[in-house]
Amino acid sequence: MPECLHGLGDRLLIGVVSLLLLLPVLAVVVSALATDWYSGLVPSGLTLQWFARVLAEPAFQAALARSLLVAAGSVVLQVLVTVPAIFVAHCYLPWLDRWMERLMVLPYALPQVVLVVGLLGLYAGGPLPLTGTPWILLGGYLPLAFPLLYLPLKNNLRALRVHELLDAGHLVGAGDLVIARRVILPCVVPGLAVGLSMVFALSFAEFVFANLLVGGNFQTLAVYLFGQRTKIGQVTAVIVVIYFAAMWLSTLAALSVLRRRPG
Amino acid sequence: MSFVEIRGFGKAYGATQVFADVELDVSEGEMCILLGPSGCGKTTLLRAVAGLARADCGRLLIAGRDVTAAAPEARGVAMVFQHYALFPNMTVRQNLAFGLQQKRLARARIAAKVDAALTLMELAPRADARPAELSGGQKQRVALARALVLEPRLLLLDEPLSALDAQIRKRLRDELKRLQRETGFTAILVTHDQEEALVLGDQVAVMHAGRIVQTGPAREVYDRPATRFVAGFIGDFNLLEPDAVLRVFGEHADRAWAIHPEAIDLLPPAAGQDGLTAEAVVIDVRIHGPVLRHLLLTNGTELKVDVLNRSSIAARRPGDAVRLRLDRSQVREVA
Amino acid sequence: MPRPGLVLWAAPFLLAVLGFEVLPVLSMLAGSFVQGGEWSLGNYAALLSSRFYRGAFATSVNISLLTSVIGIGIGLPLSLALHRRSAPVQRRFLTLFNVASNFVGVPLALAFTILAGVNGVVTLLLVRSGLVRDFNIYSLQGLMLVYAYFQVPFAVLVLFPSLGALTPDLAEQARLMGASRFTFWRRIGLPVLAPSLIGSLILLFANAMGTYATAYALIGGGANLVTIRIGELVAGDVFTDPNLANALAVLLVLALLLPILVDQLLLRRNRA
Repeated sequence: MPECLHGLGDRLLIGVVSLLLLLPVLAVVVSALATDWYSGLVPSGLTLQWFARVLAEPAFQAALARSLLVAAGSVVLQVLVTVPAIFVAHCYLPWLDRWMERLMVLPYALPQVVLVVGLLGLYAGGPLPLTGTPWILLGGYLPLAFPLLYLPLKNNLRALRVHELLDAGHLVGAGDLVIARRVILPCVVPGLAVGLSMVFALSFAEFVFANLLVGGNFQTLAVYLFGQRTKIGQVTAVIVVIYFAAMWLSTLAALSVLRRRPG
Repeated sequence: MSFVEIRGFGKAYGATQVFADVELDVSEGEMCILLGPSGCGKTTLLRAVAGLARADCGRLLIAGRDVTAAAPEARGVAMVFQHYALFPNMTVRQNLAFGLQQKRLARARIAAKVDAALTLMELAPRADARPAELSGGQKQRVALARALVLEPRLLLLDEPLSALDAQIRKRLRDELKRLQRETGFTAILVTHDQEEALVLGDQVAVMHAGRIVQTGPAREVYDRPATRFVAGFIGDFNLLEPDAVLRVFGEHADRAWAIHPEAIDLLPPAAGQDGLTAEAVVIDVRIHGPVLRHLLLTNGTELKVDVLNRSSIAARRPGDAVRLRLDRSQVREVA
Repeated sequence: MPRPGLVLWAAPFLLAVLGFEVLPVLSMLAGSFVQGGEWSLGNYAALLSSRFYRGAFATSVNISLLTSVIGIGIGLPLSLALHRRSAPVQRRFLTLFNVASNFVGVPLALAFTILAGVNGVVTLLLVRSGLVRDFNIYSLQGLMLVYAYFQVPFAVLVLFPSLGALTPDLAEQARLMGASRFTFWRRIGLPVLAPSLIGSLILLFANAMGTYATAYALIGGGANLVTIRIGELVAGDVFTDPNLANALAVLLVLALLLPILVDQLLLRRNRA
């Protein structure tokens, strides 16, 4: 039956592309576990020695700590700065909301390397010398990661009919802040969790700002990894695996928040 | 031999039977309604008639030709989808012309047919609008015109009015009936709205859980429900189990009684006691436009009684005592 | 009820956008017109007359356009195939594509080095099977392969939501009216998807044009791409010229904005 064949073709296409997409990931994982993988199609043996070696490296530990710090700081900053702005814009300031929507395409019109040029011109000296310090990263990631937070949060808010909730609150004598804290905030936890986990992942893994604006003064994991790229393949593979494990764990944490609140 | 014959149609998805043992006859120029609650299999049955879904067993004849295995486009059917399926990139005129172009008709003939259909459906002023610029009612009329312009042997309509709001739904319903009378097309229409079924249907087939439980002229299906499901689904019957019949009317019944709310007369408490009769207390009176719906309590059973809303009728209030009377011919015994 | 204090809640955010997005762009724009401490168009003149920088634009546009077309070319059939599957399957694979389209930069370059570098499995397989004599991932062709790796899943992510406009009843209606699959796609399917196809192509193009880390980590300064040149002009080992970098960055932004603006104008004219 042609219908069956059709389904088969779809499955085949999806399967083949997915396999190809998984191939580099697989190569990294196998390489990280290989004793030696120079001359054959498969490694000669498996070992955890590379993990032990990388994890024991003080420079690696320091870089990992710095990246975690930047990522955590970035998440806190988004919660304090961006989340209230999105709320206020959604509930009361439609003009601001329209501008936020426009801000969504900005990462495509302004690649990071372009922003680097502008940021260097502004903060490499002058009254506010931020380059070479982690502060420029925290500031720079804020608008950069904004779309990642805005999209899922906005989807949640749209589904909520916030204005009816606020009106219903007024009828029982509850102020806007009470409604926001007791009703709206708990309802948007899923969008918030997804958005913040993506903010964390971006800030943790970002390379262009970290390398060009800060570089060796505050070496993050991405910059450290870049410096190790000419070393033995297994070492870089291990760092990539750890790098992904950290991002994966943050996503997992967000998902566990979602699971705990069904619906 | 009927114009459309469905014989022993059945379909299952794995263990779930979507529809089974479907037998249906539609005469030429007749509008047949498939009526049933959502999930009863009526839409899938319609899609199987169109050839968009495949029936596992059974045969389908349209105009004497066996089309059981024919491709959808070779069956001579046209369909109006629930959400119209208008091609959003084409104007109204282009939508109407599309099917005729596939038949490779001459350009001038296509234009003439399209113009005639536009005029018939009063769409001429919107001929160059795109679907996004049309109101819901206009979209529905375009979908109908697009189907009719192909002069199909059989027109299939899948809940065509359900996406419209109440006012427009009623108007289009009447328009659809008029159109069918004037042009005489043969149609199968799927709906879950019993009023729509009664108004539009020459013949109504009630579906329940994948089976057709009763087929007949609209009037007959309404008057003589075959099962308690039909009684409950079509026209708001009072359903009295045998023990309730005994309590209320003192009669022994083998099967449940179904009684139309308008079949019961309300009389003063002191009225005569001939026929089926019982004392009752009014619990509530609601105005349903042309009728007054009374809720009565009689011997522990609640009954709905409709009375024409005329100013000459003395208003009854909750707590009033009444006597209700019922002609035995109005009682329908249902399985 | 608009109250005056409300804007204060958004003030830190607005300040951050001002300080880290608006002002840098203005500074870049202003700096691009400064040469040797004076206002001048010299930076632009230098860039436009330079074979080297014109070549960088040509290479960037070539590789971006090609990988965008490849991305859509594979991404569209892939999205359509996924669209026909059940919702849980769709969710699972969209998550995979989301991860893959974010697998960029240094890790991606390293992964490809392991997979298809001089001693990589894929290279060995290709060479041993006799399909190619030698394969060099550190070339423009290699770079395109790596770009395709994130462009295809990115294409699925941006195309997939727009497929909702192509409801199944449209295809069924066309079929009942006697249209072949080919006719359906020519007259209805592609025209309906056209605006989002063009929009997606623009996003993919911008995505590739702006890529810096992946190319830099794979080939380093040797790749003559606009982004690599910009990075070199602000942080190079040999020579830096911030104002030339400003002008080059402005030109890159113009190259990205132009298709967006044209698309918007076309959309507006189509609607009118």
